[in-house]
Amino acid sequence: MNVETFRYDNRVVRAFCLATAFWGLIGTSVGLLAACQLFWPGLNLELPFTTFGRIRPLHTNAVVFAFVGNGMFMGIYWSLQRLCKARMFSDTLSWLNFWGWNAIIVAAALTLPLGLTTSKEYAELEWPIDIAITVVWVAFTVNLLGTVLRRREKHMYVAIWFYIATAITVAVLHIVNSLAVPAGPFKSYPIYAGVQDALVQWWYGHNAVAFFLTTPYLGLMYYYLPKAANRPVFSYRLSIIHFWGLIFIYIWAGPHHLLYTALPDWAQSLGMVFSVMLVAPSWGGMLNGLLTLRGAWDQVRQDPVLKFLVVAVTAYGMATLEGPTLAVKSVNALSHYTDWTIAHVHTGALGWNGFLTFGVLYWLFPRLYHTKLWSTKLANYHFWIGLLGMMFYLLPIYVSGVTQGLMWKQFTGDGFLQYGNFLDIVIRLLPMHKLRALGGTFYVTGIVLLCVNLYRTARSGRFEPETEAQAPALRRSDSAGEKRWTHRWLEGLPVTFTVLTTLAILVGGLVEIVPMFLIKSNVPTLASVKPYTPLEVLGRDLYIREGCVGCHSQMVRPFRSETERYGEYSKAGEYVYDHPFLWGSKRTGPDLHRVGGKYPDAWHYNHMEDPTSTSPGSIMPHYPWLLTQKLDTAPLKARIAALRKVGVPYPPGYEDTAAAELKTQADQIVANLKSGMITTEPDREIIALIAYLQRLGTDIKTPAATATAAPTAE
Amino acid sequence: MIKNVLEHLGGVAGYGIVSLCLFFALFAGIMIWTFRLKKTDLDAAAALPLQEPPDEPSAWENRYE
Repeated sequence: MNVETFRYDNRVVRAFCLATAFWGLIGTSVGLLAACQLFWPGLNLELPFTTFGRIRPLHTNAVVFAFVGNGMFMGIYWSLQRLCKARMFSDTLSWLNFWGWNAIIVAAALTLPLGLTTSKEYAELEWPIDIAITVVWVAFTVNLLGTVLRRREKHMYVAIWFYIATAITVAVLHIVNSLAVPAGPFKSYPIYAGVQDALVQWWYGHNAVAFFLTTPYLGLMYYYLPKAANRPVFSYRLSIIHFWGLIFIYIWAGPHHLLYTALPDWAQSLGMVFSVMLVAPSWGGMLNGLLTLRGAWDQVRQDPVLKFLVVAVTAYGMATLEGPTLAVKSVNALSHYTDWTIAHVHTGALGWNGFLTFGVLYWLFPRLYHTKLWSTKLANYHFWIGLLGMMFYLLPIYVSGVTQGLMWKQFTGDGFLQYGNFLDIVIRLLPMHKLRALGGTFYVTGIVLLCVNLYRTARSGRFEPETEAQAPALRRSDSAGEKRWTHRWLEGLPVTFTVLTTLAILVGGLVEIVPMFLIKSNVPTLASVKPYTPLEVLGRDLYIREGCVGCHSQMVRPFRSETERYGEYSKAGEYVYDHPFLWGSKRTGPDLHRVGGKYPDAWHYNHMEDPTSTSPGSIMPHYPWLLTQKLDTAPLKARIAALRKVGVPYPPGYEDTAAAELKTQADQIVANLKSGMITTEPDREIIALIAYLQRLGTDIKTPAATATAAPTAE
Repeated sequence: MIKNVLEHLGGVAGYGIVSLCLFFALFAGIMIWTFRLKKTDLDAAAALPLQEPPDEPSAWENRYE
C-alpha cells in the first residue's frame, strides 16, 4: 500500500477563525445600535451614515456574510481537509477566498453607510462588489471540489454533501438575483421589475437562508457534533434522507415571503405547500443531531462546546418548525410585516448560527494552538449570558410582533379601525423594543467573553501552522468491487453527486420562475400605469439610498384592515416599471403604496425635517440633510438609459429633454411648498423625494394623475 | 418560437399538484432506496470523522511555528 504523507493547512483556518470572532462582534454591535435607534432615534447622531435605514443592511450583511460566512469557511476548511485526508486543493485559492471575502465585507461596510445599495434584502451590494463576490465564490467552489477530487478517502462523508450543495446553489442564486444593468460605478437597476423582481428576490432571499445559513452549518453539525461528543452520528440513513429531502424542497419555498401580495396565487400556494413539507427533512436533521448525544448527555453538563451545539441544534428545530408555520397563509396574514419575522430570523441567527459558531470556535482554538481552552468557566459564562440574551431578545420581540399584528387588524364594534393612528401601535411596542435591546446587550457581552477566552487560549499555546498526516493514495480500483446504485457508490463519485445536487436545486427554481416570466397572464397590464418622471426616478433612488424600504412596505394586502388604513389593495400591474421592486418586508412605519396625494407637499417637507412635528411620538429618524443637499442630476441621463435597457419604455432621446422636464416638475413642487409657507430651492434632494412619494400608488387612482407621468415610447 | 409557445402555456394552476406528485415520488424513492442500504456500510460511513488520530501532545512535538 502506497502511504502518502501530507500536511493540513491550519493557517487559513486560523485566519477565518479570527475573522469570524471579529465580525461577530462588529455585526452584533451594529445590530444593537440599530435596535436602540428604534426607541432612541437620536442615536444616529443626526448623521446620514449611521441612520437606521443604512445600518440595518450593514447589520444583516455583517452577521450573514461576515460572521456566518467566515464561520462557514473556518469550519469547512478544517473539516474538509480531514474528511478528504488531503490538503486544500490550492493554497492560492484558499487565500484568495480569505482576503477576497474579507475585502468584500470591508467594501460592504463602506458602501452601505454611504447609501450605495440595491435595496434588495441580503443582496444590497452594488454591481462591482457583486462581481467580486462571484469571483471569490468561484475560487471557493474550485478549491472545495478540487480537494474532493484529490481526496484519499473514497467516501464523501455527509458533511461534504452539504458543502457541495452550498457552493453550487449560492452561485446560482447570486448570479440570477444580481442580474442588473449598471447606471454608474455604484448604481444599477435589476433586469426584473415589480412582481418578477419580487419573486426572484425572495427565491434568492429564502434560499440564501437555506444555502448560506443552513446547509453549510448542517455540514458543520454533522462533523463537529460527532467530534465533540466522540461518537458517530445517530443515523447515517437519516442523514441521506435529510440531505436529499432538504435540498430538493428548500428551493421551492421562496414565495412564502410574498403571501397575499400581488404575486399570482398559484406561486403563493406552491411556496406554502413546500414550506410545510420542509418540516420533515429539517426535523429529521435536527433529531439526528440531538440523538447523536444519546447516552452522552452527562458530557453536555461538563463541556461548553456541547452546550453550545445542543442549543444551536434545538434552535434549528424551533426555527424550522416556526418557518413553515409562518408560511401558512392564515398565520402569515397576521405575522407578515411584524416583529414576529424579526423574532423568527433571530432564533436562527442567534441560536443556530451564533451558538454553533461559538461551539466550533471553542472546539477549534485549543486544537489550532495545541493547548487547553484558557477558561472553561468563562466559556460557561458566555453560554449562560448568551442564552439569557437570546431569551431577553426573543420573548419581547415575539410579544411585540403578535401585538403589532393584532392591533393593525383590530376593528371597533362599529366597524372602524380601533387603532386608526399607526403611531398608537408603534408607541405601544417601545417597551418590548427596549427589552430586546437589553437581550442584545447580553448577547454582545457574551461575544466579548468569547474573544477574551480565545485570545488567552492562543497566548497560552503555540500555533501549529500545519498538521502532518498520512494516508494511502486513492486508487481507481478502490471502487471496482462497489455495488452500483447504492448511496455508498454515489459517495465515491463526486462529479455525479454534484450534478445530481445541481439538478435537485434547479427543478424547484425553474418550475417557479420560468412560468412567472413567460406567461403573460401572470402580470395583467394596467393602461393607466406609466413610467416615472425624471424627478421621480431620482426621488426613488433617494428612497433606495436612505433605506426607507427597511421600515416601510409598498404593498397593501387585500385585507379590510389594510384597505381601510391605506386604501385600495396593490395590483401586480402597478409595479411593471419598478426596478427594483420596493415592497419591503417590515412595517416599522406604515405602508406607503397609497401615500401619493394623501398629504400636501409641505407635510412631507416638515415630516422629513422632523417627523415628530407632524407625527408626535414618531420614532422615524430626522432627515435634515435632504433639505440642504443639492440633488445630483448629473447621472440622470445614464439612469434613464439604463432603465430603458431593462425595459422601461422611455422614448428615444428622452434623456435630452429629461432635465427640462425635471426642472418644470421641481418648480411646481417649490410653488406648492410656498403655499404651505415653506421657501426652498428647486434643486434640493427633498424636492425629488416629495415628487416620488406623491406619485406612489396614484396611477390607478385618477386618470388625471397619469398626465404628469413621463411619456412612453408606445 | 419556444418562448412563444411557453407564453401561452395553460394549466398553471396544476403546478401545485404536479410539484406535489414530483416531490412525493422523489421522497418515497429516497426512503425506499435508503432503507435498502446495508447497515455495515452506513456504520462505516458514519465513523469517518472519528478516524483521525487523537490529539496527543506527544505526537505534536517539534511541529510548532
